[in-house]
Amino acid sequence: MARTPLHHIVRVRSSDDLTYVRSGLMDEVVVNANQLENSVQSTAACLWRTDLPYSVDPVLWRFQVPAWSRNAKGDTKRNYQRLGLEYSKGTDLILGSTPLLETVSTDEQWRALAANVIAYQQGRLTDVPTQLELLADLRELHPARLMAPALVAFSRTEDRINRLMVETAATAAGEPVAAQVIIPFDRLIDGRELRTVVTSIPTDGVSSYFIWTPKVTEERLLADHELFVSLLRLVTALVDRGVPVGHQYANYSIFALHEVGLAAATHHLGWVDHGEPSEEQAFMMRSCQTYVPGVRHCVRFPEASRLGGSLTADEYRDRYCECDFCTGIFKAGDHPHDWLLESRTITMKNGRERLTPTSQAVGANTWHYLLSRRLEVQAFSAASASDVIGRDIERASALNRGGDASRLEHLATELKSA
Amino acid sequence: MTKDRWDTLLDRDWSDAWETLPEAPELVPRNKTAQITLRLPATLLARIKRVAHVRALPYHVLARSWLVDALRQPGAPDLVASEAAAQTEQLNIKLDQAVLDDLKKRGHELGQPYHRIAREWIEWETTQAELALGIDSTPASQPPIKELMVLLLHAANQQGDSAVRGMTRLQKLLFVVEQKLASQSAFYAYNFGPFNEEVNDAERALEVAGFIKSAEPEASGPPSFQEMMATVTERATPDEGGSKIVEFALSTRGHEAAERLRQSSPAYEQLFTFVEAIKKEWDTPNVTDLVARVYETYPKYAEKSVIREEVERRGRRGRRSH
Repeated sequence: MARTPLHHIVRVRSSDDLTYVRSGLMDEVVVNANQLENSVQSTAACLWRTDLPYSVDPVLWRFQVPAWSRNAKGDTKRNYQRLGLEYSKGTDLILGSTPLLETVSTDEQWRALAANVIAYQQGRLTDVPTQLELLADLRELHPARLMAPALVAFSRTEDRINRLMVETAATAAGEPVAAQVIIPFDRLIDGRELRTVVTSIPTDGVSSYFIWTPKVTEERLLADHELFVSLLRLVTALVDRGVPVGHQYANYSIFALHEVGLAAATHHLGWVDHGEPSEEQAFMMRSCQTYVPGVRHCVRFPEASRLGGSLTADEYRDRYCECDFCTGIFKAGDHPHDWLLESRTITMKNGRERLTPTSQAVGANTWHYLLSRRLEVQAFSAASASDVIGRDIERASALNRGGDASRLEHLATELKSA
Repeated sequence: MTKDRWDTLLDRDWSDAWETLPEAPELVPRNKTAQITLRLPATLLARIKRVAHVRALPYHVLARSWLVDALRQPGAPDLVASEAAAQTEQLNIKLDQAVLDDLKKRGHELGQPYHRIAREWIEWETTQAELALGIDSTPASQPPIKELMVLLLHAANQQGDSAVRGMTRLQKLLFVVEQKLASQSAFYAYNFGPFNEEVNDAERALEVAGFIKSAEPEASGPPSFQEMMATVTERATPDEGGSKIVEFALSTRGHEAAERLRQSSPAYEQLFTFVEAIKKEWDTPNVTDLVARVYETYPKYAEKSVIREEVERRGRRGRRSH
């Protein structure tokens, strides 16, 4: 019997990400609502160009803690101000000024928020066309799925509100909605708390579940057996409900959970794994790291150079990376590292100097990362996790990365015992 | 059949039975669907699409339903005088053959070409729908930044250039256009004077749509290696420390779209003339002169500028040298 493919979703977090949104490299796009507020015109243009299905992540949880939507000066960012106004239409609420649980005090207000969040997803991009678009014949933009708003489930208080918002969202949408399941580390690894969260997640009116466990890096996931088992429990508990389950911030190990029924995996275009904390990441100088498909994680430029810098085109493809971008560079007569590992020295405000990737290297790494992730999704869609990981263990060994081979073996063992 | 039975049937008088027989099917069946092709002004087509958009219906379906409804009414609706604009657009509507026949018949009764009747009915229905839905059929008094940008990049400045060099210049020129057009401004005082992030978004949208020249791929499928490399090399800045002065110029497609927009209604033609006049007056060769003039004319928007003193000093120096 043919395997069901793993549905591949790419998350748009910045205007720059739109360059990489192309059909054939992903199955769907999800746009963060705060980003949509920054770039509604260009996002619409991008979706018209690609014809890809899309959805909007409402990111209501960004209002949960004021600091999560504020700039360095302590003001709520302009795009969040606009988003807050949309979400609080018809109410007296001002989002972003105080913690959301203090701002919203009644169930009626939570229901109003949930209904507004659904209306926002349904209408934000359909408002875009101007005379310029009307003179062309462009498709109407309607999201492929509507997502219920959710809070990071720190406690049973949030569990109850999340349930209420899913039910209201489904009623407002007039159809089942996608439910976000956001579980912090502490509750994920506590068996009793995890059961409480799972029990609180509704089934009625839900078309799919999308999991996110903030601050759980892939390294941490593979190093902590209890954590891995907890995540597996969460995924399988939801899969058993017979509704498709996706992951909001996936990586190679999460893709492997396709084996236990994970139906969709979302990732963004940043290749350094920060474990996706809840708060928006402040602008930081990029670090000199690159994704090495041969070992299935990021490494620093000097180490990447040691691993692949002297490989021939064939060796590089077999052991290091087989993406079309790297292959194309070899064909053009260069080595991929000439582009991927290009860096420059910058002087920071405190006078210290540090290396950072050049703008070109950032572009090159983004293509390389996206194409590599696409190949991984395709691999897990086409073959069993043990076959895919088995092949990757051989590759990691061929690069003389014993530690990485062990890491992948550990993943295979965890999955086998599941 | 026996010979006797055959003879009996032939001898019988069938003249009465003939009237009771059911209609025989046509030897060559007529198409159940026919098509009518209407020539419309671009502005009317855009209005139909806007109404369809608000009603969440495909515009072909909406136009067909209007024709069918109109045929059900006796006589003809109060037809509005059709706009004098050139009929540059084409609208193909699939109809039942019977509906098309009715339309032709109605045309014959009214002594007018049926195409014209159909067009006028659709225009009438569009106007009614706009009134019912509260849609303004004329371009907004404050047109979207994206449209202003297309017209601005289509217009030539005093030196005959239509391209605009640098985001600062693009921001300031659109700011001046907006100030002279609208009572409310979406621009606000920021680090380098008046700023509106929608300008950046609109510029990017026009790039993605292929209206502004860029390395942005136009095709929708997976990118070729060359396309990927083009987006990578476009990122290169001369010293990686400072920002590169980008030239914003419409592509051939962009100029075509601007022309189409301009011709879509007299209001847009008027808007283009207005934008062009501002560009000729304000788009000075030296961007500092433009910024200084903006600061001087609209001091409220220069309040937060971190380069205000520098700009004012250079502006004074520039004026002295002129």
